[in-house]
Formats: sequence, structure tokens, C-alpha cells
Amino acid sequence: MKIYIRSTAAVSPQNTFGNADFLIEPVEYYGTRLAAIEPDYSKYIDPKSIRRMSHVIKMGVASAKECLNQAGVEIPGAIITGTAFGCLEDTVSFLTRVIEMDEELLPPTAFIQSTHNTVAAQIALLLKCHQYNNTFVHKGISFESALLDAVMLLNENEADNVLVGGTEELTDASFAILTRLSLYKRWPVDNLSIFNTRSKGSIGGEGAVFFLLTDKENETNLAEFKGVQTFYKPENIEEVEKKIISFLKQYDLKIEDIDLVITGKNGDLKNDDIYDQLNQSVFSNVSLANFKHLCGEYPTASSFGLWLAANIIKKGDVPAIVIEDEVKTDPPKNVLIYNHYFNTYHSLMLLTAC
Amino acid sequence: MTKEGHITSSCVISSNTVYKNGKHLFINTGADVPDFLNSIYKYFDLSYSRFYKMDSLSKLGWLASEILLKDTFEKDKYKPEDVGLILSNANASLDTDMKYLNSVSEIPSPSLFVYTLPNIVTGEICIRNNFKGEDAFFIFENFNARFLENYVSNLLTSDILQACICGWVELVDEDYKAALFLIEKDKSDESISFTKEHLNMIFDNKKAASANLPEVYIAGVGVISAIGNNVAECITAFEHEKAGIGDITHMQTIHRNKLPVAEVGFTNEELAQITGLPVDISRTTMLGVIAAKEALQDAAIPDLSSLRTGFVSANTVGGMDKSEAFFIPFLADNKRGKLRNVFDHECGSVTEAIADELKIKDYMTTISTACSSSANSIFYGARLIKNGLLDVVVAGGADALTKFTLNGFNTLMILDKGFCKPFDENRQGLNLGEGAGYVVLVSEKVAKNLNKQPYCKLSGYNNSNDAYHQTASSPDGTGSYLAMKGALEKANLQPSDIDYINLHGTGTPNNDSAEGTAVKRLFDSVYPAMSSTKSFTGHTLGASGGIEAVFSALAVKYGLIYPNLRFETQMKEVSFSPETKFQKGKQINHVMSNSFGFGGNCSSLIFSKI
Repeated sequence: MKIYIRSTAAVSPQNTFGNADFLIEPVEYYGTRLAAIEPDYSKYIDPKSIRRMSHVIKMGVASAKECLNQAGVEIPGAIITGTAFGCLEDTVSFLTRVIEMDEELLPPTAFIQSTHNTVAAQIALLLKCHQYNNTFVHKGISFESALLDAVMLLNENEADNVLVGGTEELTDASFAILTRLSLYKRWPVDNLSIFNTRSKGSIGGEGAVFFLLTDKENETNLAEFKGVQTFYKPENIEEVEKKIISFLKQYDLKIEDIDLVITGKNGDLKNDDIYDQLNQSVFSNVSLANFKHLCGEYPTASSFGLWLAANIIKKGDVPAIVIEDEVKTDPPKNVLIYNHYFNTYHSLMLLTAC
Repeated sequence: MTKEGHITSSCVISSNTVYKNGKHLFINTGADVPDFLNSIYKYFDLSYSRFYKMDSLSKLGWLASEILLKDTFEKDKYKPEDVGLILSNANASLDTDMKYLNSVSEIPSPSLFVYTLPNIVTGEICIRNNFKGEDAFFIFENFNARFLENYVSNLLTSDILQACICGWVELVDEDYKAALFLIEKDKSDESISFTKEHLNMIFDNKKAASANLPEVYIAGVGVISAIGNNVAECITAFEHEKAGIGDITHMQTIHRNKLPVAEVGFTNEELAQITGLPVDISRTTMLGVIAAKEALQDAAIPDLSSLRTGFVSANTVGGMDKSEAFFIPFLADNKRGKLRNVFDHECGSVTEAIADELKIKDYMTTISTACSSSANSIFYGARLIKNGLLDVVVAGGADALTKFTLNGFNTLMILDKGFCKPFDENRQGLNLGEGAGYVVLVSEKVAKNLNKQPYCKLSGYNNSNDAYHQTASSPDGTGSYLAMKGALEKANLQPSDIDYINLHGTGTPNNDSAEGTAVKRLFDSVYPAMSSTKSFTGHTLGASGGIEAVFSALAVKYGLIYPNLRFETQMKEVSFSPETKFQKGKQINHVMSNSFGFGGNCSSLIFSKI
């Protein structure tokens, strides 16, 4: 069975939502925190609900609904989301009140919306969709876990199409804590030249990217989704190389067959060392592209990478801002996305032209 | 009379697509109806000169029958008079009637006239295949699965027919749909039982394909909760009808001595000592390690290191107990607060720490769908095995009590200030609990190599959404109903097959009323034994599906039925009561376990005797 990406929609720190140009004029930030550009939510959510919803819920619901609009699908066969931190704004807000009000006279709204499944649940509620509904919350492979679930559902013939997305929000509290945990650089940088800084730390990001996966052929499908695989704590770089080669082998492909590799380079010296080593070995002869200078680093950022790959294949165009050196095969047909999260969780996703 | 027959093949033609046995074989989006039908004829390389003379309705039915029978039907097995044809639709031959009527104004067309009867479709199929058994064409407003099931199974049981093609063939202008079913007395590798539910499922293109997926067995169980630190202690507590609910002793909160909870007895220091983990990690992780290790040891899988093993866990608030400590100084000054306390805030951190203790690294992930989290982790784990990705999966969930959740539920005013009374007319709310529960799921191949008989198999599962409200359940329990119904369909069981339901039964007025209504709708007149073990363990949130899966597996293996403590008065809206006495040694073949949560997330699992 073949699986296709029927449609996609992304709320991100770039102009990616709606009918925007394909990263022709990338948005430049000076700092270490990229905030998502908010679309006009009133097109997707009624004003009363908008007021109650936190940032991540609004991003998630709007991007999910736009993704369905693009596909011309009203109710998907399943809704699956991935998020490492869940609804942080509401979680921090309720936790703050518990502490500051000393557990008394607390309003329930923030607690109600704090559960990790809120985005998937709100989408189901707005669509009146009674189908399968799941939320994965496993660090840097939350989105990939959701994708695997979607692939299995289609294989099992449980659904004709599956809405699957990665969401994450960065709040003031989480940005402060993650900065103290050395995830981000200690001084402001220009996001578009982050790969030249050669220093510790990345830049924080956020967003909501949804896809409709289907096993039905259609002229307007963006790309064929060949597969996703994750692995945990590889012993050394050789094991990473082996995993990449054996992943491709499952689809009768060699690394030479890959026209473009999109990597999760994020501007942090230690993090990018893995990519640099691979660029000297398995990836030495393939064209490379990066995306985290555009969306920032966050646990489900690989969903932005997949959005990029699907659009590159459909439009037959690689935006200049993502190219690492040069693109040898243009337009690319086979695109591999390789991402790792603190060298603990690694993920591979493969797309090919329909 | 017992129903007979199996659906050995199906073909659906609708929306420009041809499906056989749930798989789409051909799609042609651009064409109008006549062109689409002709393109099917060409695509499947059919050769039958009468085809081009037929009207559109006959073409549609004939094409569906050809694809239905192709490669699946052993015609030689039957005598011509043993095979019949029972078809139906809503508008008879209206499409051709209209065309004929139009032709009358000029020259009445004899070739159209002969097709102005719907039963000509059945005739065309019978001529092609030399079928001579009973045939009939019925008119219904909508596809009537119940009628077909009764009518055709009567023909089979009374030996009037040995095989029958039945279904729906409708075509008016651009609207069309064919759904044909081949019903035979003998099972085949791919057949499913001949029930109205299956007919409807196929008609709506929702095929239960996983009926053909391999079985998954439960080889080990492990649990820690307020009623015991392991499986044996929990069973003893059930036997003695001893609940684990009491005053708060571990947590620093203003609700001490006001709101009862179901705590695990051990302090953090004791848990750290038992697990060998540092005392400053999340209590949720330590509870999880204890239960998951017990499950894996219980399974005692030979040569585990040679198998592909995964860990799928669930929780609702990750390391929140530690984040609470971090946030106190952090709120005063965001440069303060011990980072160690917030480092493992994410739900995934808890899973990762437990997996490392179990030395599982082939695959791991975490699910968080509020109170249905660990029911979902269990069946996601089973699907990883069914899809051939893993051989063994430890699956379940863990959650420790935190101030965050205690206060959260308190703001919703759904906590009982006394001990909870699930499914009682005078119930006041729930008691929060804590704990962890895991099962070890194994493939058929691994099950065969075990040194002991597995507990049971996971035969059914379903995840449906209530889509009604972020926290409240719909009055008619739509999500609960769909989850239970879906799990029965997946397991290929009837409601009357279930011997015991481990209810979600939180004790809140809203949940028990919605769940009770859904149970009534599905099980009316054939109520199985039911109870909520939350009357013992409290509501352990992200752990509850895991803990209750362990209790369900034990119920199948040892024939146990757990009492629903403190039950006095039957709820007004239902006509059943939960079990109130502990029973053992019962014949229990199938147990259903319900887990419903915030966000409308409803999941049901079915555990079956091997």
C-alpha cells in the first residue's frame, strides 16, 4: 500500500500559513526566541472560543482546519497529535495560581485546558469527529510517534485518511528555564545566519504543522510518504550511519538515490557535530538543506522539516534559504529528513514524488 | 435459530472507486458514470459481449459480481441450484425507467424496455454464472443490513441455499453505489462472520481488516496501587474487600484531612531505596519502575535480548511533583529554582527513565490522553506487534498524586469528601489515586516459546471521541458507546459474550450517568457482571487503564469478579447494579475494560481467554 501526503498547513515563525510564497522572503529575527506568526484565527474559530483558547490550541486548531480545507475533507478518519510539552501556557498558569493563591479559590479553566490531549480534543470537538483520537508526548519523537500511528491505521484499513500534526508553544517560563538549561544561545543572534555562529546553544521556536495522510491516489497529493523510523541513544556515529543506510534499504534505495537530505541542524556546536560528521561520511555526496534557522528548535520541529520536504517535492523548487551548498538534482524526487534531539532520539522520514 | 454463514468476499463500487475486501483496487476520478463503468470493465480485463447491451444499473451490479467472485469463489463446490442472489436498492430501475420514458416520445426503445425491472440485474448475474438458486430483489429506503442478515441466514440454515450473493445495487443519474457480499457456510482465511454489523461496516467502507492481523497475548502483569505494592497484594485486598483510600500523608497540601485520596503506602525515600533510584526523581518514575519490572519478571520471556522489545507508557503530568517544588522559588525569581527538579518535567522523561531501568531501547514512546492514556498505550503497543514492528511490548502507565491534579479536580468540584461510591444513585464524586500498571504484550511466536500459558489475549480495542465537551461526557455517553461497540466489533464478539466489565466508574455524577447510559444502550437485557475497581484504588488517571488492564487480565485467568465497594442504591437511569461481592473461580471468557478521559477521549479494551 502507498501512503500519500494529501495536504499540509503550518503556523510557524515564517510566513507559511495560507497562500504565502514558498519562503521567498524569509522572516529575520534578532534574538534567541522565534515566535509563531499568528494567522487570522477568526476564519477558523468562533470569536468566543478564541478568547478562551491558549496560543498552542489556537495554532493547532487553525492549522488542522486549514489542512483539511486544502484537502477538501470535512471529517478525517482519525486525529493524532504529537507534543512534548503539551499545553504549557495553561499548565504554567494553573501551577502559578496553585502556588500564589495557596491552593484556594482557583478558577478551573487553565486546568481543564492543560492536558496534553487538548489540541487533538478541540479539533475533534469543533469538527464533531468521533473517530480515533490520540496524542503522543515523547520528547523529540512525539511527532514521529504520531506519524507511525497514522501509518499503522492506514495499513490496518481503519481509516481512509488521518490528520496528524506536531504542535509546541514556547512560553516566557519555558523560555527562561530552557535558556538556563543551556538549550539556547546566551546572546542575541540573527536567525538566518545562525549556522555561522559556531557557538553553543540554539534558538527557541514553536509552531503547529498538520498533514492529512491518505492511502488514496489523487492528482493533488503533495508527495508519497514512504516511511518514518526512530531510534534511541545510538552507541556511536557508525550506528547512526548504519541505521540511515538500513532505513533506505527497506525501500530499495541507496544514499545515492536521495536527491536531498533535510537535516535538523540547529546552530548548536555540539548538536551539529553529529550532522557535520555525517556530512563527511554517508551524506558526503548528497545535496543538503536545513530548516531550524527558520522555525527555531523545539521538540516537534521535525514537523516543519516534513512540511518543507512535502512542499519542495510538490512545487519542484528548493527555496534558496534552506540550501546548505548546492542542489545537484533539481527538482528533487527522493527527499530524506534526518533529525536528532540531543543525540538521544533520532528520526528518519522519507518522501518521494508521486 | 442460530445465525449461519461467513462473508467470504465483498465488493464495493462507489465514489469512482472499486474496493474488494476493503482494499481499493481501481480509481478513476475524471469519468462520468457510463465511462467509469466501462473503464472498470476494461481495467479488470473482463470479456462478456452482453455487457455493452446492459443498462447502467445492470452494468454496475454485474461488474460488482464479477469482481466479488474473481479468484475467491470456488464455483465447482456448488450445484447451480445451491447458489442464490438477494439484492436490494431504493429506487428500483428508476434510472432506466426515465430513459425509456424519454424514448417513448419518439420511438419506444425495446432494448431499454427490457431493463425497466430491477430484477434484471439479478438475471444478468445468474445468466453469466449459471446460478439457479432462489433470487429476489427488495426495495428499501436505505441499505438494510438487518433484513439481509435474517433473510439470507434463513436460506442457509434451512438448506435452501449453500451460498448466496447479497447486497445493494443502486444507480440514479450520477448517484450510484454497489455493495455485494458473498455469503458461504464455510469459513475462509479472510472471511468474517456474517453479521449486520459487518455488512454495515463494509457498506460504509470501514472494514475491520485487523480481523486478519495476528493475535497479541498478555504474558506478564505488574501493578502498584493504594491496595498493594504488587499483583498478589492487590488480589488479597480485593478478596478482603479492603479499599486503599484514606487521608493524605505524603503530600504537603491544605487539603490534608479534608479530601481523601488513595496513596501508595511507600514514601519517596522508601521507593528510592526499593528501586535503587535517586530520591529526587519523580515519584511517577519510581512507581512505574516497580510495576513495569514486576510485569517483565512475571512474563519471564526466554532469550528476551534477542527479541525486538518496546516500551509504551502513559502519564498525565510527567514530573509535575518535582516541577511544583521548582516553581516556588522560580516564581519569586526566574533565575532561582533547582534545575534538577524541572529537568524531567516532560511526560516523555518518565517513560525514558523507566525504559532505561528495564534496559529497553528498541522502541519507546509516551501517550497522554488524560484518563484514557494507558488504555491507549496498551493497544498502541499491541498494534506495534500486529504490524510486525516489535515482538514484545511492555505497555501501561503511571501517575503519582500531585498538588496540580488534586487542585485541578477540586476546582471542577468533582472530588468526593468521603469515600467514592461509583454507580450509586447518591455518588458525590471521585477520589484521586496513584500507582502504575503494566502488561507485557507478546506476539504469537513469543507466546509459543513461553514457559507458561499467557494470561489471555487482547482481542478487542477501540478509541472513539465523545466530541461533546472538553471535560464533561455527553448525556447519552456517545463516546463510551462507540468505544465499547468498536472494541466488540474488533474482537468479533456480541455484547452477550462479555462476562465482566471493569467500568471506568469514577464516581462522578456525570461519568457514571453517561457510561451507564452507554452500557444500557449496548448491553440492554444481557448485562454482564460489572464493577468499578476505583472504589478500591481511587482514580489513578494516566495509570488507571494500565492498572485496570492488569485486573482484567487476572479476572480472565483466575475467573475473578471484583466488588464495587460502598454500593447501596441503583442509579435511576439504568436497570442494572454493579457486583458487590468478590467472586473467584468463575468461568470468564471475555472482560471489557473502559477508560474515558478529558477531551472526550474514550477507549475500551477486551481481554479474552485463550
